[in-house]
Amino acid sequence: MSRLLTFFKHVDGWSMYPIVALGMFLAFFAMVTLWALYTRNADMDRYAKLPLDADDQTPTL
Amino acid sequence: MKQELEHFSYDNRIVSYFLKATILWSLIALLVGLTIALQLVWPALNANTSWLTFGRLRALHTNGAIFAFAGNAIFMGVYYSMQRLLKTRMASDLLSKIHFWGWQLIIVLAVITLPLGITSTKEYAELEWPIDILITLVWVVFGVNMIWTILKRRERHLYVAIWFYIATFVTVAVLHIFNNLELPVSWTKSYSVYAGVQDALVQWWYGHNAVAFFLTTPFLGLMYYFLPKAAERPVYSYRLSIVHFWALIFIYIWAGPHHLLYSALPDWAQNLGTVFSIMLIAPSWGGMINGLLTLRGAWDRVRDSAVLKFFVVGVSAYGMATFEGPMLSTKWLNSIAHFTDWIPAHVHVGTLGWNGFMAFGVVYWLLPKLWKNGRYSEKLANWHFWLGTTGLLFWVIPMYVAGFTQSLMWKDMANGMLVNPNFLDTVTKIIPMYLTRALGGTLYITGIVVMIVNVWKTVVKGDLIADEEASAPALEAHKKHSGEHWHRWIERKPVQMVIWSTVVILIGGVIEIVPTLMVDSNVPTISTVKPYTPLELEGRDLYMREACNACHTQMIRPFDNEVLRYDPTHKQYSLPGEYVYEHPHLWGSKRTGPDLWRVGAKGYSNSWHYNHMWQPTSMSPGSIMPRYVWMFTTHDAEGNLLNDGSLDTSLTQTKMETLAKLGVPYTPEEIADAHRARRAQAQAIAADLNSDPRITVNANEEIVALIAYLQRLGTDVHKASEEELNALK
Repeated sequence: MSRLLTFFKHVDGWSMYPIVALGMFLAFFAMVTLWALYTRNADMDRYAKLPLDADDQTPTL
Repeated sequence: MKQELEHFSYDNRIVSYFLKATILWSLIALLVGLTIALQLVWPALNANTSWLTFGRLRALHTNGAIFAFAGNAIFMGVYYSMQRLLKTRMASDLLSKIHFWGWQLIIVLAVITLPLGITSTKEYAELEWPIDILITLVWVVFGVNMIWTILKRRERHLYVAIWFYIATFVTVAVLHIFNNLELPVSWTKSYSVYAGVQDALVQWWYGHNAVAFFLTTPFLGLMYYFLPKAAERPVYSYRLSIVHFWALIFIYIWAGPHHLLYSALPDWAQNLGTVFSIMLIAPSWGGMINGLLTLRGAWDRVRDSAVLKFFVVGVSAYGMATFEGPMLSTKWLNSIAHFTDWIPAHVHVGTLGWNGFMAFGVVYWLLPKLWKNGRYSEKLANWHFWLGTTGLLFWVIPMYVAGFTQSLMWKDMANGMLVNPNFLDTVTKIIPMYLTRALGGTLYITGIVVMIVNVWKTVVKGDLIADEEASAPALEAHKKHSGEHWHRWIERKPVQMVIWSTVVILIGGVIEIVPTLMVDSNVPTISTVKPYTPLELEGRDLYMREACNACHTQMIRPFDNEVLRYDPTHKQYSLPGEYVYEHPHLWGSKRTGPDLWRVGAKGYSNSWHYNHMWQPTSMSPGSIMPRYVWMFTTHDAEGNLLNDGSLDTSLTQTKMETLAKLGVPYTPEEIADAHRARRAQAQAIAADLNSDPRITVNANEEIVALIAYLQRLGTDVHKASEEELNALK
């Protein structure tokens, strides 16, 4: 543990890490967008109507 | 094959509890807000009473508005919508009740402790450590009940509102725990484990994300449920809602450092906050557009429906605030707006407009659903809407004007000199705007009173449907079918959803905070910066008790006008190394009064401070600072004790021991010698004060300790050599 702490205290270039995280975000964002775009319309319509369907007894399985 | 229906009931009673609590606390929190707004015009309204004074009540107002008003509104909407979206009753009525009463207990404890000056001073996290633990426990009860309910649901798909609720639960838990890590001194006193720059970063990582995950994500969840219900049509784009959710929770967590631009925070962290704040416009506006377009083809109904009116203005206010926020995160606009009244204006577009109006819309939508045969009045609801909208405008517009006025006056320079060297001139100029703001608050509160009448008529005359009958088929085990999309697995598995939401929000927090906490080079130390003496330490705790940081900053930014105004002799802006022993930091976020970080080096005498704290207008005619008479020992004409202002020194050594554990270099000898050293310093200050024939003071009065602290501020860095300071820049 102490070796790990020593490493963190003296590591250089931390300011580059956010760039890596930005890349991670863009990849993640692209993945979610693709998922949203490629999901079937019928599924999306059914999900969107869930609040309206909630009062009747129609399940969406 | 037709599936057999299971019969069950929804728990409306818990929703009704939270609804009533929402209304009660909205009135109380906003009345406290109005009280302190009026005190900024007439400071004598504190009646020279400690627990009625601005600094203490300001924390009560913010905590009341966020956690009591908005908090209860969130739970009201969550408990109603979640049961219906999952087609099941809440998993445990007992946990629901523990959550409700536990939350109200926390609020009552805040109402008691904050006016007593029991505070950690960290904005929106002022409650002391025993209450922090209680918050954690109650929050866990809420989370367990929510996840347990999700697990026993009768609806396979988790609607997007539920995703927002899950993200709220996990993120608030993480934020609350890490920001409130503190070492207790007593049951009512603790010190943050973080110091200075690091404490500021963690605090604003928390503070910003309290806005994000307490005032935004749960309300977006409510929007995705109640807006389609009120408009009687599905959300405009479910696809957009998915991208909205993941992008929002990922980006929001990074944006905290935009509260610390031009501060002593490392530049890379400031820039990170700016970049992610600007990116935040996209998901925020995606959500706003999704909400408003849900009303496509139904705009005519807005004319007749008070609920839809509240939702439309609420979502529009969200759009305005989430455009303004990223703009304020750019350095050029931040340099104008930060520390001015522009920021409260921005905040109140969000709280009064977005949170308040969404909460009111949900209340009005629920009233006739929960209570049958009541006398719900659409007309009164419309009256509330127009009073609220007018009040909102009267609140924020004068504050935008005040913010610009302050900033222009602070920065105004000619021939290298300040045009307005007396800070007070920039205060007296905007008092008419403060008065108009108070009028806006009065109108907004009048609207709430109208709502209370409406709720009263509905609740007292109506019958609560405590258990609403419902039926749905049981959830069958899922059979994977060909062509099914890979994302379906996460929607079906709420525990994984919780884990992934946590991972997403932790990425930002870890990358931002760990290096600032760990890497030595982020906070270069200054050899002449030393820990406070025992008396100064007690004085600092009094400064915290009175929440002086609610009006005075301790952060001189690297602008010509700031170094000239706040450090005229050395013209030195604040450096990270000056704050290494500040547990917690007291940078503040608003300058109603001037910055105090170098006040000790500005040449004010002890007697000036003494007279100023006794009667601020005696030293600064026109000042709106309240009197702090309870810090003085006073007697009436007959010599009877009126107020005992003696300093409590019973914990001085424990405080030093606690700080020593946190890395402040107090030696055992210094701790053992604390009382002698304190008395010696206090006697020297008292002797100096008593040399003024108009002053009679005892060395053990609180005011002496406060003066010792104020006179120390900013003096250490001036002892540093030119070479050392140049190396740090």
